[in-house]
Amino acid sequence: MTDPGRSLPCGTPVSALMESVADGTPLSVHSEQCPYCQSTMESLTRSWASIRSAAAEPTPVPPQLVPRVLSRINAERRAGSGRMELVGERGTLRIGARVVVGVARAAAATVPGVQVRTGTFEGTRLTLDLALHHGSALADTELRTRRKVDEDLRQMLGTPPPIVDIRIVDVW
Amino acid sequence: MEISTDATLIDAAIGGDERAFAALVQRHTPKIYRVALHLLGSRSDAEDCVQECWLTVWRQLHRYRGDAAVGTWLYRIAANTALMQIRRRRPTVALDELGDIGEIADRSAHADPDRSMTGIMVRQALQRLSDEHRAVLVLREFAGLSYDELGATLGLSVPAARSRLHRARLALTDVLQERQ
Repeated sequence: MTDPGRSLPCGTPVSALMESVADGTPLSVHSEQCPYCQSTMESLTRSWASIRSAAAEPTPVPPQLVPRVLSRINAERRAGSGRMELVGERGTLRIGARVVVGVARAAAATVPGVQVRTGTFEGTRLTLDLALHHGSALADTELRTRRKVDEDLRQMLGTPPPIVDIRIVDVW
Repeated sequence: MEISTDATLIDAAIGGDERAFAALVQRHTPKIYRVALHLLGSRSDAEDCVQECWLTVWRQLHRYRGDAAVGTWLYRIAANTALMQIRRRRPTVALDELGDIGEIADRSAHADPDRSMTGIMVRQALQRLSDEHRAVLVLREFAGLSYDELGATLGLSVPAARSRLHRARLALTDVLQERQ
């Protein structure tokens, strides 16, 4: 691998030539004429052409990405306004809906083949929108997700978790 | 029709204007996705990263003080989100298990029809660099940040950002030259 501090036999640092290739900074008079510098410039220019070409390619945004982001923000906004109350002998424990959704999302995301798109908690129902990996067995994955979410929420809340609705909204 | 600036939109979003926030998402998602895709190397990971990034932005709106341009602030959050995602997913596959870049590019071409073979090869080569090198390269070469913006985004002085970029460029050309 090229030592970033490496200099050519003529004393020119390779990084100076790299900057010239990548940023178009002018070469020194020496480098314009030096065979070591010229040879290295040719090699760096060849490699950098691939990077320029890759950087010039457009990167199409998946069409559903922006709506998905906005839907998730809306879900977060709604989830943030709710809360869950557990009444015990010594008083009431209030848990923000965002916490419940966060635990459920994290739990669901550990199931292989599952990506969580959105999560909301309104009233007594927790809703998770999921994307499944292509080829996943839907019924089996749904069951494993439900179990994992239930288990983690139960462990955190110490009481039966809310009703969990699972919707499969996408495939990846 | 009046085109709102980022600063106007973010002020409105901080004030609770949902449409202003949606306009920011529309405007900046393409660039954030591009950065995420080149940092993470996978479209599904990049989509997750973009969503996480915007959630973070939404939660931290009230912390935006205007001392950095909105774009720089967003790139900083996007780069941090992607780098956290990379750390979380490790250990996955050792580099030598990834195989030859060309083979990977051949395989990826089927899964990524929007990109040329060169584009795929460069993206895969980026995955062979350290996180630090990949981040500085992607932000400079694929997002077009200036040296000042690079420093602000990565939390480095401009000379430090410049020096890291020099090392990263040489590392990337080395990886590509192995293939050529």
